[in-house]
Amino acid sequence: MSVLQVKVRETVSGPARPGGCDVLVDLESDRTTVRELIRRAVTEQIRLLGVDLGRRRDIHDRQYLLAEEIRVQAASGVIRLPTPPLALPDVTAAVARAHRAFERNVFVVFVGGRQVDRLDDEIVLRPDEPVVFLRLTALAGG
Amino acid sequence: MVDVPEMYADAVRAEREALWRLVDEARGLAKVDDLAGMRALAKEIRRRLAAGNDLDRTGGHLGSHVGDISAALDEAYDEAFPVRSPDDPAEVLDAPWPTVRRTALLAAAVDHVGWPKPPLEPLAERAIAANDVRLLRLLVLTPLGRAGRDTVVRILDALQVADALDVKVIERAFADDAYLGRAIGGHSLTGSAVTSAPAACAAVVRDYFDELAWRLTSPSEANWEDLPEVLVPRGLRFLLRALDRPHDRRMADRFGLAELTDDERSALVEHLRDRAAEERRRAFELRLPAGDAAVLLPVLGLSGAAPLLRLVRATATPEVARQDRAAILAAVRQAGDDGTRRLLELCPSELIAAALGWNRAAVEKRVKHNALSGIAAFGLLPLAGGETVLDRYLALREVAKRGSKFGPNRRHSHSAAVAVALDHLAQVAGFPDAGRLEWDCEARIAAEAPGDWHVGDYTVGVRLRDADPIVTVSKAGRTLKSVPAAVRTDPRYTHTREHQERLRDQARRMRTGMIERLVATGGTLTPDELLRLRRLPSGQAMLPALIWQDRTGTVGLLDQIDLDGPVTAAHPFLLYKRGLLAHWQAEIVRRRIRQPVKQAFRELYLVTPAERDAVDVSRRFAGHTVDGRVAGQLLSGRGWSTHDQYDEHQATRPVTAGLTAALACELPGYFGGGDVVVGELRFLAAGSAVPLAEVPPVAFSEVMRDLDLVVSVAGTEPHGYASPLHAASRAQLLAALIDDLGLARVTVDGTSALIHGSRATYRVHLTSGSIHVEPGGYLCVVPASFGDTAHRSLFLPFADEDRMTSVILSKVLLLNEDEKITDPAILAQLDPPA
Repeated sequence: MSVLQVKVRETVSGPARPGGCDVLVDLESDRTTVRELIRRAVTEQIRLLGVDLGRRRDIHDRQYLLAEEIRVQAASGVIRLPTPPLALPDVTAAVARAHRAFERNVFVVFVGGRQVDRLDDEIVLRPDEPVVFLRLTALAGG
Repeated sequence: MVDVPEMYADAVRAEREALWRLVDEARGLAKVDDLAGMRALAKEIRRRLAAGNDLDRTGGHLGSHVGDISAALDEAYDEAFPVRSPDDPAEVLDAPWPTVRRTALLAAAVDHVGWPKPPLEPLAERAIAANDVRLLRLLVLTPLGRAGRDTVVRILDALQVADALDVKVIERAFADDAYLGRAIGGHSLTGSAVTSAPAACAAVVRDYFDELAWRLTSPSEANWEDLPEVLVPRGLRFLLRALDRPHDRRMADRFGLAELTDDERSALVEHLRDRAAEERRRAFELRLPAGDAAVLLPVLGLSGAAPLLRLVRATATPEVARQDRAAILAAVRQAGDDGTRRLLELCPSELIAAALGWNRAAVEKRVKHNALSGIAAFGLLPLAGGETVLDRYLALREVAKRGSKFGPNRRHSHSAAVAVALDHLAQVAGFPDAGRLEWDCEARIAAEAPGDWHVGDYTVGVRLRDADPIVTVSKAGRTLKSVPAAVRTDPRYTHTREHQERLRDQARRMRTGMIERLVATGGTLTPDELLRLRRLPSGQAMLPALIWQDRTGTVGLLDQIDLDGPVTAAHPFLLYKRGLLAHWQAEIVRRRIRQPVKQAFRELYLVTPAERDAVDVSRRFAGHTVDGRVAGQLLSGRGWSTHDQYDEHQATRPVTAGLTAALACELPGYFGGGDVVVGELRFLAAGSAVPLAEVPPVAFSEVMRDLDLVVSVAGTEPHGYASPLHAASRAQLLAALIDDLGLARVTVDGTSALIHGSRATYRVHLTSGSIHVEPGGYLCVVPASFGDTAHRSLFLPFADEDRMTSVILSKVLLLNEDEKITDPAILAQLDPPA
């Protein structure tokens, strides 16, 4: 079992996204398919979201911030009670939606400097080569 | 003439025929070499053109339909007045008609090739420096080019110094610019005060003007059109002429202001002594705007009214200002009752009449219409029979409530007018200041409780639950959930309800006007003030729920601290700095305290490392698009003033003495006119930006809290809060990402990506996203669906979280495979593949 790093660049100057900016995805081998990579990535994202939701739910139930939470928030420039947590999305449905979105070209995946085309394409992952997920915006001549 | 509207077609045709006749005349004069005749004719043609182009005559449609006529005139004048040495600017300017050829020579000489009216400033500088009298005169007299008003005055000054300023030049300068007087200076529009140092030419110009004004208004010939604007004539004769013609409004406006010497003023008084009362009155009215009407008070039999007149003039300001009631009454006493009445007839003053109670009905009507000075005057009215100070105070509070329905800036002026009115009422009621009036009235509201009363088995009263007053009905010690009919129909029930409403309003004023401000500024109360506040039911309910710091530095609830000294409402920053924030949040929850305003849980904003690095500017909310109308309302409700597009900052708020928060925004015209893009925030002291780390932290936090509220409530972007990226860091991010993608055809070059496509080479700017097709084209590609929710939540670690980054990256990927483009709108902009 190897641990693969999916590289995500920091783009938001607001509150840090759950789990920091790089996302680690566990894979059994370095050989896999796009379909599996997306599944793993979505699963991991939702797990991290769950951690964040759990943290927010704790605060929400408790109704006030702990000293440690205040210290962490102070670094981001604002101290406040978080917004009430929403329900965690269903993993299976989210994976299915991500797969459909990939097929409709809503986003693209680059592995090792190469764009992958189909869900069932086999890909080889190397630790030093980042995986990049990019959203696309539909364009038209103006 | 196809594009001339039908209603003007005949007029344009007639004007053109008239002009053609003048062209023929010019050709005739040219044939016999009558140069003087041609000069005179050129003047006539210019006049005719200007008059013919008048809106009333041809709707301005003549000017664009005289090309053939101008060409014919150019030919005639170029032939009769050839340019002998094109390098000599004086020679080029010295012509009666601005032919195309001469204009081109002038444009070249002043480096403005192609301009139909080249600026004369460079030549003027040269002529002034060289004291070149001929060129100076020509610069005014020439029909060519254009000179600014200040430049013309400087030319006149130079000619005056050289003793070469004559009537012909002055006349021409005024003919070109009737408002030239604005730059001559030496007097204000009202003729009373000197506004700026007069220009050197002022004396000569004003002599000319006086002479002209006298001549143009002589009984045989009254020609106002040719009289330059702005300037004020000097001498008693002008005023007397205005007095002689009572029905000439124009003359009253211009000559009533005539500048008088002290001797002339005395002469005027003498002159009026044996005149009819009506004429004296008119003389007084004429001199009111001039500012010296007071000297005429004795001839009107109003000798004692001079102080009152001064007050009348002082109160006639466009802004609402506090008046000193005692001073008004003293001036009225000096003028006497009859004198006051007569003076106010001559020059009415709403405020002074209100102080005397003479215009009660009119003022009340003005208040109903929310007229600002009417509101201020309302406070000055003496108490009517049966009216109490409290009645008036409550009426003013009702007026204040109406302010919330106004737009951003009107809201401020409305509440300022109410504040002035309260100050006036305090004077009427004999309080030392408006604050004391407020305390007294609020205490009276609480004290005027009707008390519990009984009907049948029921006991009815008003109780406070937290700070909220509620009407309770109890029977045998049990509180009922609803009000029985027997109680509701009792006449005392109405009183109880009214009292509940008053208490509710008082609680609202206490919460929003007092407690919120106290907490938001970390304000301090003296023991005296605290005591008075706690006497009010709402104060007693709210103040113990707040966290305070006493003079020894102890932080706690009211019952835990020393109340013998001043106490400060603890802003969360104070709690945070002392490491007490978590403790007090837990404590408020544990004690089940309902705070009247957010205090322990108030959002707290601190300076971020990025802001510290940027020193004096915060871009935390930059790039957010908000609905201008909603944002304007939110901001004004928090004490911000909004400004328009061309101001330096589009929203400002005074935060502490001498410190102003200033937000720059991009907006269409004025705040509220459409979407607003929030920009950079600065804190200004005496006009320059203060480092954020030096801004009082409480003020900083509250300003950021206002803006966070605005972007989260009024935000219009689907992604709302996600991405306040600014262009420079976005470009860096994009450059790194594009490198990661390993796109063979793409190279990153500084802040642009160069794409060697199959159809062309493109340069995509990573800051703006604009696309240039090398070597010199532009490719317009836009998101296919603007404003749609671009991405649904997909739970993937996307590298391009914000929309602009996504758009730019999508462009790069699109052009990287430009052979696959099928959109005809894009293909049409590109050459077919080689």
